[in-house]
Amino acid sequence: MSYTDRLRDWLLTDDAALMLGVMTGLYALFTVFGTVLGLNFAGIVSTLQQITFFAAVYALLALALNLQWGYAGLLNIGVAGFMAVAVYTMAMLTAPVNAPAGGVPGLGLPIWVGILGGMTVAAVAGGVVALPALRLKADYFAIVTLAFAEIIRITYNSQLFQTFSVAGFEMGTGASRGIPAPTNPVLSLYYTDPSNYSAGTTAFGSMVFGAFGAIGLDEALVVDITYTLILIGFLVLYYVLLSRIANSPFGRVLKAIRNDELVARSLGKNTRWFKIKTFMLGCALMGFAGILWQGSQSLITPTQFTPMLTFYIFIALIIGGAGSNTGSVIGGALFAGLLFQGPVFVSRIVETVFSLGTAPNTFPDAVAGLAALRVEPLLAYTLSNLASLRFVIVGLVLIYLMLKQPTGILGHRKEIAASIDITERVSRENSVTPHKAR
Amino acid sequence: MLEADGLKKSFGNIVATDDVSVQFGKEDGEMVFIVGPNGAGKSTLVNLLTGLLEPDEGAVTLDGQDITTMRADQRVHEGLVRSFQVVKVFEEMTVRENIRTALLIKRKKTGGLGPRAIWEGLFSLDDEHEAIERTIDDLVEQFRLDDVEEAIAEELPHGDRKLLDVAMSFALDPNYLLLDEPTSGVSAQETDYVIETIVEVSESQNVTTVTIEHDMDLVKNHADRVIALHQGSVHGEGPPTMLETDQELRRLLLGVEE
Repeated sequence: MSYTDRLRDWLLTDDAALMLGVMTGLYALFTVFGTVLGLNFAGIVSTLQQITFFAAVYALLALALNLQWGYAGLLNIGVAGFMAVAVYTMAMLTAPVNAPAGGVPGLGLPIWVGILGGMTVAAVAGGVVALPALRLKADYFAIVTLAFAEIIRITYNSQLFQTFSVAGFEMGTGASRGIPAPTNPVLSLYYTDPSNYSAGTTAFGSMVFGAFGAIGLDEALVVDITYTLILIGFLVLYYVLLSRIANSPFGRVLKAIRNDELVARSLGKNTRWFKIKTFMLGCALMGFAGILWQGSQSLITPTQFTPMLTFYIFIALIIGGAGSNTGSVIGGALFAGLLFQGPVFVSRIVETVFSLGTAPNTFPDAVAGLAALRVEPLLAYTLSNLASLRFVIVGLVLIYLMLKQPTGILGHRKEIAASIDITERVSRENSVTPHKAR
Repeated sequence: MLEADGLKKSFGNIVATDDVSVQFGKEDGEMVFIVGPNGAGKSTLVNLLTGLLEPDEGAVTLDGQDITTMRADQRVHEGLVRSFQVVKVFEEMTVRENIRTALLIKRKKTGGLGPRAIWEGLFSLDDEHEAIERTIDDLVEQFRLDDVEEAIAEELPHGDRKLLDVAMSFALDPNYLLLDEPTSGVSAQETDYVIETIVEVSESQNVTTVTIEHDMDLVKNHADRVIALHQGSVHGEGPPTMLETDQELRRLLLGVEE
């Protein structure tokens, strides 16, 4: 079967329809939000670009976590730490040798070396953590990963490593001030000199900017859209790779381990090595997703890698359903759209529609207004504390899922071993009576 | 020949097996039953032989090779296979899928850490379909599961689930098969049927099968040899008639005073 045939077949599946449906729904919702807020065309396109960006990065990370947690049952609550290792390694390898005053010196290597280096170091870090920790029970393993992530974050925050030299090479983490990320390679697609836009655009740049400029989209937005499209490209790669793994002999063993590790061992598999390999691969994929996300910001600081980031990724995976790759993507999109960006837009709309005035500083002040039958102070207070409100919403969603859909949207599905047609079996189920007369 | 030589294992102050030396296996396979009251060390002995536990003292040898420190999963590839007291099958799969999974997982392809092993583990397509399906046909027929081969494992009666469990062990092509109470939890009517099937298949494939069993009538009917354990030591071993003649053993096992 040719690849185009396979693609066509896949596009006709429920999974493809579900993923495209979720994205279409989110686009429709945010187009409405944007219209209510009075955004122009460019504003709405920019909004949709941001939604897509966050949906893609959360989907990438949920997919990587699904490999560890969903397939192998490895509870890694140090995702942020493994991302940090990769992103920092990338930044330290690629930072210029002769840093400008106040900057952080690095090894000045090309960006692809930095990315590969970051992924490798994340995988090695994963192996170092997993090797001793897998002797522990699942919940203690989880605590070790969380501790590792915090050690990593605090180390990168330490003044001790702001700059240091190894074998004559100057480098550093920048400590709490952070380390500049390398120039986004997408920029060199459009500008002859990415560090100085006024030096002019490339031929390709002039063409694309011209075309998009005609419909009112500026250069910065075109660059962002391009980067987001690249993210989607990698998301497709991740999805294909992980689906392939799930249906491979390797994935079959992982599922046997998740089902019952003792059985997998009794069937003659060294389950420890399988778990370590899976963990390392998952960490490398998390590292790359981290590079694509945090590495695209101009500055990398330790505050970008707090445990909260890990929990967001877990929530995305829980919504979608652990164990399902399609679920991971949908969970990432829904989390990014409805829980992460949604509240921001809702609060902006509320602020625009009701002029709420200045928000009170304390909760008692906010509630005091209720006595005078005025809800605006409470509302304004709530909206000005949106970050906290997001936790409340996330908490409510988690409680709802636990009660109504503990396996997530697609986690109930049985994605079993390769070469077994699940759909076929479901149709047979009714025709077979398991109890035989004897 | 599977040999235990002076196996000793304690858990804290409790001595589970104390200097147990036994041998299993003849050229054409044999049917050995391990009997003994609760706490005699039967399961511990099976766990020591299959590598789930490491002995404090003593050695395990398989066909002359010392396997005392070999991992449990490696022993499977040496032909030493076991089943557990609790039925361990993939509940959501059908009978055929369960056996197919065991057959596919057994293959060495997914082992190793070399680039080739990793590549093949991740990307090789499943081959040998026809051979595998034929093996499944054989096993399903031998274990008399052919009329339920498309039923989901968790919906089967307990006896059939146990047979499926044992069939999966046979899919691993064992020379020595250790079964920890295969009739535990199986209804009285099904018990005979389960043991008979296991004995039949073991004999037809020349497999040495070592079974822990409490039903003395079954043991008498099917054993080539009986090993009786008591308080972590071998109380005695011999032909099944031993169960009739050894009054001390009868008292231990059945509480019969004569």
